[in-house]
Amino acid sequence: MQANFSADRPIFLQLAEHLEAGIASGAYFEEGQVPSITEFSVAYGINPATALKGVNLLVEAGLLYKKRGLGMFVVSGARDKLLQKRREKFLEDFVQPLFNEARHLGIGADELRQIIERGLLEL
Amino acid sequence: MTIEVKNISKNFKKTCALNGVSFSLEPNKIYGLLGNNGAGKTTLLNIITGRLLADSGTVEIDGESNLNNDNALSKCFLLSADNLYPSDMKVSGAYEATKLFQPQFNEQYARELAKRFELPLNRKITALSTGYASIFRLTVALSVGTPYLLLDEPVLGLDAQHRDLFYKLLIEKYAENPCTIVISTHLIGEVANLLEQTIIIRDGRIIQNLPNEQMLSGGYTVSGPAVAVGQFVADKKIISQSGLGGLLTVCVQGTPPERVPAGLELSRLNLQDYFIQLMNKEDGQNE
Amino acid sequence: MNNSQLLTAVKYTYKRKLTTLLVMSVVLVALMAYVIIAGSLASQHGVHESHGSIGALDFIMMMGIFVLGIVTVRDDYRIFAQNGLSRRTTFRAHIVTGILVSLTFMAAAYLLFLLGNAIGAVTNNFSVTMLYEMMYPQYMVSSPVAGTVLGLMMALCWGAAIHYLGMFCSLLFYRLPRGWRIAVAISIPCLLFFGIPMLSMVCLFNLPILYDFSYKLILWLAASPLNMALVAVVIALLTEAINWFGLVRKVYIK
Repeated sequence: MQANFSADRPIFLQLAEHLEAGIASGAYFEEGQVPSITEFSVAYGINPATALKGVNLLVEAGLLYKKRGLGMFVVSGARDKLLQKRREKFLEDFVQPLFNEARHLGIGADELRQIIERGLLEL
Repeated sequence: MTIEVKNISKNFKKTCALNGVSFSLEPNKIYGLLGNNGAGKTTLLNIITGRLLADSGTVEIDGESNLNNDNALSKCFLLSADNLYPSDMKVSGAYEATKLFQPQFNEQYARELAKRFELPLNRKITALSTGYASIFRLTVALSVGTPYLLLDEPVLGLDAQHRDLFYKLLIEKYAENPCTIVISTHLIGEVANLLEQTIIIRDGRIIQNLPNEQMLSGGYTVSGPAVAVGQFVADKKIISQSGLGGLLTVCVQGTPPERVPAGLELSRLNLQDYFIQLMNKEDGQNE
Repeated sequence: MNNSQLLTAVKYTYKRKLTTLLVMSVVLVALMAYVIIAGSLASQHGVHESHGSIGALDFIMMMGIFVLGIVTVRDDYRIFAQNGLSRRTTFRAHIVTGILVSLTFMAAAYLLFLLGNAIGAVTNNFSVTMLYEMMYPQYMVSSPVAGTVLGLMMALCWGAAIHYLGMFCSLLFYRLPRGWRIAVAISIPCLLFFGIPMLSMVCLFNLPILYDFSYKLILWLAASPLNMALVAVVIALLTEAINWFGLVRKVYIK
C-alpha cells in the first residue's frame, strides 16, 4: 500500500486528502467512525506519528472529532463543509488548469466555448 | 528516557570502524540507521548493547553508563544476524529463556507470531533457514517489550510477503506500545515511510542526523525536457542530475515553487534517492 | 548492581548442567548394575571369585565437570548478552554455579558410593571407591569420619576448580588466533606427558633446593585431604582471575 502515495506532496497531507475524499463521497458517513491511527499506519505502512499529523489536520478543520476511549468520528455537517470548500476552490483547482492547458495547446476562446457546450450536452 | 552516545571510537587492528560518533536517541521515535556495507552500523549497535567494547567514548542509557550494567543493558534488545542462542536450543526453549531474563516478554504473543509466520516451535534454532532464523528473531523482538529496540537488518532473507507482514506488525507494536526503535537496513525504500529521523553513517562517521521531514524538504526534483529543466534550474543550487535522451532530471536545493512551470514535473526527495545522492557526493569529494 | 539478574543467571546455567549430571548418574548406575550382575553370574557358574570395582567416583565426576565447563561457558556469555546481562554478572554466575555444580555432582557421587558399597556388601563381589580413599588410605584408617569429611571437601574444591579450568580452556581457545590454537593444542599434551616429567627429573636431580621443596610439598599434600583442598582453592582463584582479567572482561560477544 505504500505505492499509493505520490512523491509530490508530504504523506500526512495525502492522508488528509484521502480522508476528506472519503467524507465528501459519503464513504465515511457523519457521526460514523473512521479507522484508528493504528489501522491507518498499518494499512499504509507509515509511521503512526505521520498518520496522526494527517488526522489532526481534519480535527483542526472541524471535520473530525475524538470520542474518548472510542476513536475518531466524522462531525455532522462535515460533508457539506467539504463540498462547500471544494466549490470555492473549483475555479482554482479545475477551471484555471483548463485555461492554462487550452492556452498551451493554442485553443482560442471560440473553440473552447464550442468544446464546453458539447461537454454540457453530455452532462 | 534517552540513549546518549558520546564520542564513541573503535578500531579493529588496522581499520577504524568508528570515529568520534555522537548522537542521542529520544524516547518513542523510530530511527533509521543507514550506511553502506562496512560503514560501522553493526559495530555501533554492538557497542550500544555492550556486546563489544569501544576504545573510547561512553554510552549512557537513561543516564546510566552501559558498562557492566544489567539494569541499563536489559532495557535494550538487539536483533542482529548473529545467533546468540545455544546450538541445541529450540525455538520454544528460546522463548522460555527470554521470559526468564525479560519478565515483560510476551511469550503468548511470540507464539502467535510464530504461528502466523509458520515458524515451527520445536525446531532447533541453528537448523532454521536464513529466512526462518530471521523470523524467529523478529518474533522475539516484537514481543520483548524493552524501551529500546534495535533492529540490525531485521528482514534478512525474508520473502516479500513476510517482509510486508513484519513492517505491519512493527507499526502495530509501535502504535500500541510505543518504544524507541532503530532500524538499520539496506532496504531504504521499504522503511522510508516508517522513519521519523534518520542517522547516516559513512566510514565510521555520522554525516547526517536529521528528522526526515527536514532532510527531505531541503530540496526537490525537477524532470522534463532538458532545455526547460535547464532554464528552470539555472539559478538554483544543483544537488545532482541525471538524463536520458532529451529528458533531464535534476535534484535541486530549496523549496519547490507554488506554480509548476508547464511541461515540468516536480516531486519531493525520497529517502533512498537522497541517500544515494549523498553517498555519490561524498564519493566525489573523496576523489 | 542488579542482584536479581544474578539469581536468574545462576538458575539458568545450573539447570542446564543438571541434565548432564542426570545422564552421568544413569550411566554410572547402569555400569554398576552391569558389573554386579555379571559378577554374580560368573560366580554362580563356578568361575573364580570375581570382585568387580569401580574406582574414584569423585574423579569420574570431575571429568564430567571439566567437560561441562568447556562446553557451556561460551554459550552462556552469548545468550546472556542477547538478554541484557553484563559480562560481570555472567562471570559471577559462573563462580556460583561452579560451586553448586561441584556440590551436586559430588553429593551424587557419594550417594552412588554408599549405594554401590551397600549392594556390594550383600552380593560380596563389588565395591566402589572414592579418590580420597585411594590417596589417603592411612588417614581413612586412623580417622575415618574426619577422612570422609575432609575427603569430600577436597572433592568439592577440586570439582569447582576443575570447572573453572574447563572454562579457561574454552575461553583461551576462543580468544587465541588460529595459529596459536594449533600450537597450544599440540604443546600442552606434550608438556604434560613428556616435558614436565622430564624437566622435573632433571631439576630435581640437579637442584637440591627444588628437590627439597618438592619433597616437603609432597609430604604436606599427603598429610591431609584438607591440604589438597587448599591447593584446589588457590588454583580456582588463579584460574578465575585469569578468566576475568585476561579473557572475559573485554571479549567481543558474537
